[in-house]
Amino acid sequence: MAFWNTLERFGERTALITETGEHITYSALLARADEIAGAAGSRCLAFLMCRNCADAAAGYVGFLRRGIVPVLLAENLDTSMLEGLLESYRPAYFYLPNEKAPDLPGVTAWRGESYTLLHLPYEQDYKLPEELALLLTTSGSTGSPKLVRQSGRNIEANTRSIAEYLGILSEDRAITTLPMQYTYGLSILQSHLSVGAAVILTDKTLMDKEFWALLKEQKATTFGGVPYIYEMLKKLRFDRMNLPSLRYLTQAGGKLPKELAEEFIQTCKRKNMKFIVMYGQTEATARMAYLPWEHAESHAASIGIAIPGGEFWLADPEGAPILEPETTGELVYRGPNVTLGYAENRFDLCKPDENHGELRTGDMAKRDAKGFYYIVGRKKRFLKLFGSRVNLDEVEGLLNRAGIPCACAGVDDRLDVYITDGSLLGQAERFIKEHTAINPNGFQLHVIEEIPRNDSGKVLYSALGARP
Amino acid sequence: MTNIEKYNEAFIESFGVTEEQLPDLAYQEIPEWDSVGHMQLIAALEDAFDIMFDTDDIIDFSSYEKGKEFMAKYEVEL
Amino acid sequence: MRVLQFATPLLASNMYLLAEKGRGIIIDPYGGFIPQITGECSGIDYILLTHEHYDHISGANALRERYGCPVVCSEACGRRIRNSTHNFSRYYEAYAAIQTGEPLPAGLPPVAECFTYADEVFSGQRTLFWQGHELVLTETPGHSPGSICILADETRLFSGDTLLPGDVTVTRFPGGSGRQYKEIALPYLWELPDETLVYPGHYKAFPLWEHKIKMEE
Repeated sequence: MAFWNTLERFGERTALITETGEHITYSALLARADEIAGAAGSRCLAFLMCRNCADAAAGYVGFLRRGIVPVLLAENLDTSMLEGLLESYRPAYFYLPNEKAPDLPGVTAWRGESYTLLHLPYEQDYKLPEELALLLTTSGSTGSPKLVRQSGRNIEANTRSIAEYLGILSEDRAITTLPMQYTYGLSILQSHLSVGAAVILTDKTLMDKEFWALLKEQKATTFGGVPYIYEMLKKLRFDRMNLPSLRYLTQAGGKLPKELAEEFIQTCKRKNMKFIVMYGQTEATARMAYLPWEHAESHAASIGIAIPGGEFWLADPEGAPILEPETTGELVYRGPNVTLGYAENRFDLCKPDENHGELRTGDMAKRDAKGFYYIVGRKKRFLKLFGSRVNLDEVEGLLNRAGIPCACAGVDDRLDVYITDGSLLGQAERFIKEHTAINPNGFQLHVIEEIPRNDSGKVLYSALGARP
Repeated sequence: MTNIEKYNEAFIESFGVTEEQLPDLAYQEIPEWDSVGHMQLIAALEDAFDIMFDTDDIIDFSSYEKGKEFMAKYEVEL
Repeated sequence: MRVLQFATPLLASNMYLLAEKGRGIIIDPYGGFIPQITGECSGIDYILLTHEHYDHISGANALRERYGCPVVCSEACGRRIRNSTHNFSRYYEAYAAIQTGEPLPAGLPPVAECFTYADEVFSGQRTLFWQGHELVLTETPGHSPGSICILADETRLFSGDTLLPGDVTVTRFPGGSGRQYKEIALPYLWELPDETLVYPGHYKAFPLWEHKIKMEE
């Protein structure tokens, strides 16, 4: 039974705690949530601009309960990107902070202390399949970010699994350190609500005194952090802070540098806190692996083992499973939290499950004799153009769909785009400049005879060669 | 093959010696058992018994007889 | 094209940097020379591996991540670098201790296990056209299954451990083959012009004719 439908049983327990110290019970949360979603009517698509506040969380919970599919968006989303998304997806509703509502066309369907539910005037010329429950953005630098399609089953399975391996208790209180539209931040909110625990909501960061005051006053027992947050904690001399309420810390969103990881493992040990390193992707709802805290010290560089309900295997260059330990291969994950696929517009929303429960992570890894996994490198095709990550396959896809057949390769700070039709040179250049966020100094176009392919039709990037 | 036969075989194959030469065999006593030959022997033993030696043990494995003690450590009864 | 040689602390193996017009190619990556590389080149286009032994691949992951370029080697090499036994990293500390003949170090350093992978592999031969130069990569197994030689502009040979100055090539490492060396590697070497400058995997560069004379003796 989906956890968002059984929150009633937590009745008078505290669900949310605001920056001002207000405690909101589960019944109060649900009353608000159902009121907001009720104003939206039946199943449809709704954009949700996120903040770490009670109204936003209530809106999210309400949408899930009502079968309304939210698209979680960052508050500081670029205006033109937002316009692009609105055009592509034509949501029926937009749930956003009161101050932002006047900027958009639409009728107010509900208004609270901080949030407004706007009914947008778009024609609903698309369908939503039954299993679709949530849409999250992936980081993209190409102007039209892809959305990850998550099902109700994905969310339920991953949330339960996370609550289980983290050992979240109903007495726990997580304080937010990450935004809600980010899969890690969202999973912290969801996993705590699913067991009747509480979440302290704040948009303050670790650099603000108010954050620490709130943590101490409300006796937070846990928070999560990406590597950058741990760098900050180190600068703030976390090891010297007196925070007796903290029970465990989690880390995900990238690999923590070795020295920093070792330091925090020791600090947490001294303070009697568990330190749990985790690994995942939006494409797998949130989490795929975790390092059980008792193995943190002995397996410091490992991502750990698959979460309950999931499993890993390693693929050799031919795609066959690697059976022996201590050998590198591509990390593949299987589990009920593998999402349905991507969407780039509203018509993509009704695409079926394209992954069938299996995800090629794009990471190279090895497994030791005890079954612990270690990431060795990334296999996905991307490069950095003056610091920004550019996904080569994405650029290729964009150009191909615009009628410019091409293959993309290159090295950091120089993207090479190979096209076969010389007459499209000008068009290709304009397209890249106008429709992608790629720095004009960062790419070079080349015209070649034909795009080299192997027997199975795959582009042979290595044969494109770096012509002088 | 019995374990002791497998053990002997590893030496015989790696160094091209006969069974009679085995008991006195030690590192650097014969030209074939140099540092490179040593790695051949270790690899052959690991392969034959499906074990993985610790670094210290690789370094301390200095003779045919001493090696037998190490095999016991890896739960191989000769 | 400038060829810069860097001796690494791993059994004095050599890493080479080929530099041209601000771009570079690294042969046998080691992670400890990034400032020097950055001083020469603004970017690296390829990391080439002469063979799979740990002392020639240790920096593959670090440099690949730093420069975003592919690691290229033979198919056999690509298979073997993925496994810490085949690439010898698992034995490295022990081997280095035995090799130097020194008494066992008091606190043994941690095992230098290396797990890496190739982005592009080839079998037989592959030619790279780079910055006006031609690099021909040829499989020359014998020292190891994944050994190759890299010939730049028909005049400079990066031989890995397939050809070292003075020493006879070692084919006794697990995976090595005297037969392959004799049947594949040697004929390849013999065909090259005498003036070819050889940049070996260990020690200093030398002209090929020096070795040919020794071989004839």
